[in-house]
Amino acid sequence: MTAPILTVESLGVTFDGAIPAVRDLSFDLYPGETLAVVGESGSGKSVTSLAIMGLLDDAATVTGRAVYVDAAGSRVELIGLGERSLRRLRGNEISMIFQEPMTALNPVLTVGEQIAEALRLHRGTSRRAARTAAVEAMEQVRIPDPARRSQQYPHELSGGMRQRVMIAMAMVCRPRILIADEPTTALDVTIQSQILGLLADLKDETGTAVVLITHDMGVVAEMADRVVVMQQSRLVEQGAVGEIFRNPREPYTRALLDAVPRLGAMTGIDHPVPFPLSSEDER
Amino acid sequence: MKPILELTDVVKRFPLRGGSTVHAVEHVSLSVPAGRTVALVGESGCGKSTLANLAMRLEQPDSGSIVLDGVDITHLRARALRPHRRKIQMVFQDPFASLNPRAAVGSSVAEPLRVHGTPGGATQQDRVAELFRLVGLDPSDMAKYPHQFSGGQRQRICIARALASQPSLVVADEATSALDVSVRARVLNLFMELQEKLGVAYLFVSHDLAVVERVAHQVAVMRLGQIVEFGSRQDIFADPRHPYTRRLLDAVPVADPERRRTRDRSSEELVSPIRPRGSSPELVTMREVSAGHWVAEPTGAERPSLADAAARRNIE
Repeated sequence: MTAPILTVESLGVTFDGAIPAVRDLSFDLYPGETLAVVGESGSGKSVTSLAIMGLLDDAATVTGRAVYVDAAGSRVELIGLGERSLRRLRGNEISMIFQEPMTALNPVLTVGEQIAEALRLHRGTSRRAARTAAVEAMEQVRIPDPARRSQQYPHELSGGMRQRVMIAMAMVCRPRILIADEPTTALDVTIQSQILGLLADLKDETGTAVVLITHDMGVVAEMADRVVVMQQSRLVEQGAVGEIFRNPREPYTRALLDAVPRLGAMTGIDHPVPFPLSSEDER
Repeated sequence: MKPILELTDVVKRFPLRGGSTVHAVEHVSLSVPAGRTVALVGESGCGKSTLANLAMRLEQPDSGSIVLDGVDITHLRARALRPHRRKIQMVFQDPFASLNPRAAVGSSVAEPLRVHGTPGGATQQDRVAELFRLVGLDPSDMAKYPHQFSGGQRQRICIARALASQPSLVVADEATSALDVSVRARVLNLFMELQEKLGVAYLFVSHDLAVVERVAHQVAVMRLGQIVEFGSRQDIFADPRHPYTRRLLDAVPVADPERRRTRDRSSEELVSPIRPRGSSPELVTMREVSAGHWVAEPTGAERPSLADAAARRNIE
């Protein structure tokens, strides 16, 4: 097997000395794979990605290691890395997309300018060339009529189109790692399906490794090569997607899977059927 | 089976500044049989919540009629409506937003009892304790405040409140959408148990088809303010006929890595229910394809684009 592109080792995050948000978390990310980090609210999945990206504020204490192997092949310790070096990586070699594109986009800049900004910043591309590249990036994320759309502001676009713009921004510098935090949670189901299809295609086209943070086991089943299951700040189980679904070793993973309604599970039955849940108390 | 709720030819439009109109609900007829669950599914802006609000008379329909348990309530004024409101109650998506943060939860659950009286001559206190037990909460938590409960427990409190007046129908508008997956399954189980125990009917509004497949007896698929397909759960999930129903079903991610579907590569947008002045949507005609399974005939506007979509999927 090839070497991991990112190795997270004994990662811990604590806010102001309170109960840890992430404890002793270790996993590897391999080039070109999609790794799903799955868990319920408060399990620590988003904090994990923010810690790796150096995006947590001073209230957070981060311990452990996150070693990234950069484009030149040298090992970079991300935890504790200076802001200047982090900025060189973020949006360039490692980029991120979030759940709510409206809050992540600048409302007073056209979407074309925002996509171009990453190129001008990281690659020193000229204004004109960056503008052309932005339109190409929009075309790559299947935005119809990209030249016209690039002149529009975020509020003029639908939720699905905004998420495509976010993806274009994240992908324009051809990152080696894309962290996608609940990228389709706010979207309608038909639009979600399109965005998932797009992410899968882009991953195939570019070879970018994807860390997909989600609470939706359906999305995991559809997208992931490997899965990390988190519960209450800890890693519960990790493994290949088929293995996790077919043969979960941990009771929590099994309980999580039992609670997922599966389309088609009720074929031949014409009345409602409760979920087969254990009698364990609700948190 | 006797319907508890019958909506007939209901229309609701919202005027916008500049003369255009949101055609939220366009000539919808739907009935909910007593003791059964009818699910209303569709995407953002399809009019499903407006239809739920119309059934509750939280919105006044522009035309059409709403018959609740044999009584036409379409034009009843507040005072005349009140005794009928007892029979139809609602549970919303966000339980925290629907509970008074400064009232003890026991008091919130007792609110319908103060309005409609306590059934069977029990004391209010006893009835609230009974409701707490019914939804799986500890009656000793009555004096606590909403922030002291988890999301799932808060939704149980809202369900207890909805059941306080012994309604025949509960309208649940995305009632489990904000909950974590394991909590959601438990609250859905509670809905189903309560139906079994109390014979209450549900109008279950949801965007989540996999959830709907679990809970519903019948399903209505809404698109752009109109119902495009209606049938038993089996009809809709095993034999979907309308292209939009199929598209919705195709889009649901299935929690089984061995059943990965071909992905949707289109960038087709959801169509808006907003129309300029003087333009009104083409009304669908429903055809009964088998007993109780109704499908809208494709309208002129959607024929080409849906054919395109189908063709695209076949190529891939």
